[in-house]
Amino acid sequence: MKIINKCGAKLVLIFSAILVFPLVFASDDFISSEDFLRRVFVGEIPQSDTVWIVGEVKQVAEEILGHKPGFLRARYWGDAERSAWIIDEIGKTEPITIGIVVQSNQIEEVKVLAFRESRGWEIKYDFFTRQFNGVAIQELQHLSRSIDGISGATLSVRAMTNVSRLVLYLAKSLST
Amino acid sequence: MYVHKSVTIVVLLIIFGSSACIAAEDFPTVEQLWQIVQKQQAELDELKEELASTRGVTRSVEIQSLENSERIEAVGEIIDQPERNGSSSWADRTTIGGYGEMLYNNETSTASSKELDIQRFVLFASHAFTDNLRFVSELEIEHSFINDDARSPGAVEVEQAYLEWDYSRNHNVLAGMHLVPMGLINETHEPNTFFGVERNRIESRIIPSTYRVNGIKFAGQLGGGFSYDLGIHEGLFFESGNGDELAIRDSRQSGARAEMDSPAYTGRLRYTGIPGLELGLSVQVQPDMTQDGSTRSNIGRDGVIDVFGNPVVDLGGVLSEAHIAYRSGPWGFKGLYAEWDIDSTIETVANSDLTNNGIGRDRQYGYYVEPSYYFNEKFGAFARLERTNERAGSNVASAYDSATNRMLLGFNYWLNSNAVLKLDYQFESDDRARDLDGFNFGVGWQF
Repeated sequence: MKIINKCGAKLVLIFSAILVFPLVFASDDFISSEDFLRRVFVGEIPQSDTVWIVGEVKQVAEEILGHKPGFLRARYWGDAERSAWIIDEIGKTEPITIGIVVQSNQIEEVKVLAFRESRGWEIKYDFFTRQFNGVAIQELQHLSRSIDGISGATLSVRAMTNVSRLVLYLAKSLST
Repeated sequence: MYVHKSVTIVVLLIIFGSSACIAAEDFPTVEQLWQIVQKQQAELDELKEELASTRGVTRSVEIQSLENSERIEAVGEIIDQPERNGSSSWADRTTIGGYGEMLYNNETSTASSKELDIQRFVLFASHAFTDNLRFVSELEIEHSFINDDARSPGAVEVEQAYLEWDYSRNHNVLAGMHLVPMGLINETHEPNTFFGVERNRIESRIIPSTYRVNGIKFAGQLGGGFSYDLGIHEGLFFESGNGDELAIRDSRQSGARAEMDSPAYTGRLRYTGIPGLELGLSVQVQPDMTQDGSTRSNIGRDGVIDVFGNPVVDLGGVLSEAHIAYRSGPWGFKGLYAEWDIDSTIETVANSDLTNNGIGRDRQYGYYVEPSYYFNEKFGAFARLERTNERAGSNVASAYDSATNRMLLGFNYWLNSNAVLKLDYQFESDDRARDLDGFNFGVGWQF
């Protein structure tokens, strides 16, 4: 036991270092806002427009997010039929930058463009975000499908779910 | 008769003459017509001037409106990019939050206990220097207050205080006081995030949550849902003392002038590649929990002695832990197993009065399973079965039938996603059939 303990710690460190460090600088799956839009619109990014978060829109946005929106207007690219949105929302302490594409009032894609929290990073991976594909909003701005969370990442999951609801609501307002 | 005819002729002449005059007045003369045309022309010119003037004003309003739109758009552009006008300031990069809980315990046993306690009140502050460099801290007051009364149960503790640097996109390193990456509760223990008024006993006695240490820790994501943590930090510190100092929970140094003769190492591998699922394995190696016990008397500490009063050194141990957490729709499940394997020398360790205290402590383990069901977003029920043994290496003397079993049934009611009411009933017994039943009620919050 003593031999294991004395050598074990060093062995754990050495083997872990061998395992981990070659992977440290592996390619990541983050993309910039411009690259995200270029991919969504296949090269040519359309002119952007904004929806001002005022009046009834502001009231609904506040109900969805559970707090006053931290922005006066939401920017989108595209039109009422197909639009891409980029929204920042706080997870636990830091803003998460989320890109969402809406096609015919359903989510086509959700992508985390910047994640700054220490925990909850799982939400940026496709195995989590693909749950949102095809989701619409129903009455009271609830999603049409339940989203499975991530243990220990409740606040990040909540942030992404709420932003998805908000974007679906705003996209719907473009055609009304 | 003659008179009558004359009157009639006169009347007719008058009527005829009047009609002729009226007819002449209905058709204006050329002069009159010219005057009318002149007058109308003047009115027309006046209207033209007014129209031209109105058009000018309209054009001016249109220009003004356009300029205002451009101004609003320009302001909007600045609002969209707060860093341009400096509003991404110190305040924007600093976050204040907290959590806490008040608990009521009503335990029925031979030593019946009824207690209402602000068990913890925590405030945290973090500050992001840049997007990849941040400071995180938590300051906790346990049991409401502290004073110089020896019976005062309270404590003021730094629970976290570290600098974290993302040295690449998916990898970071932190230095300072941090939470040991083991188990389910230790890193995520805000009261609204778990079932049960009290935390489970395994993650209190075997993994001594809240287990915080000073040290350095690397962490990151390996892709495919795998992540790792690897740290070097202060170790546990056994002393002979009067009994408690040999328990895992009571040997934490918690970053207070921590002895560093023998640092410890912790590694964890987690898989969260399926929504709702977490699998975790972790190992902690403690090369010498006496912290080079032979030198303890140099700094006025008890050190570790055996039943003959001889110093004990090189008391190593390994803590292994595995867990699962799964949530799918309304169903949830958690399970965890943790075990200490400590040098058998600990069996000879005694208290300061030379009474044996280490018996059976070379093996300590605990496990629990916790199924749960969420009726809706606000209401969920759970059951939890726990078993813990801190002297599992022997079954004689104080290690005899030393395991405790506890079953809890209860529910959480979330007033809000960040505020919760909890109620549970516990059926507790040890292998010597001593019961400690009772109910617990809690109020918890996070912001």
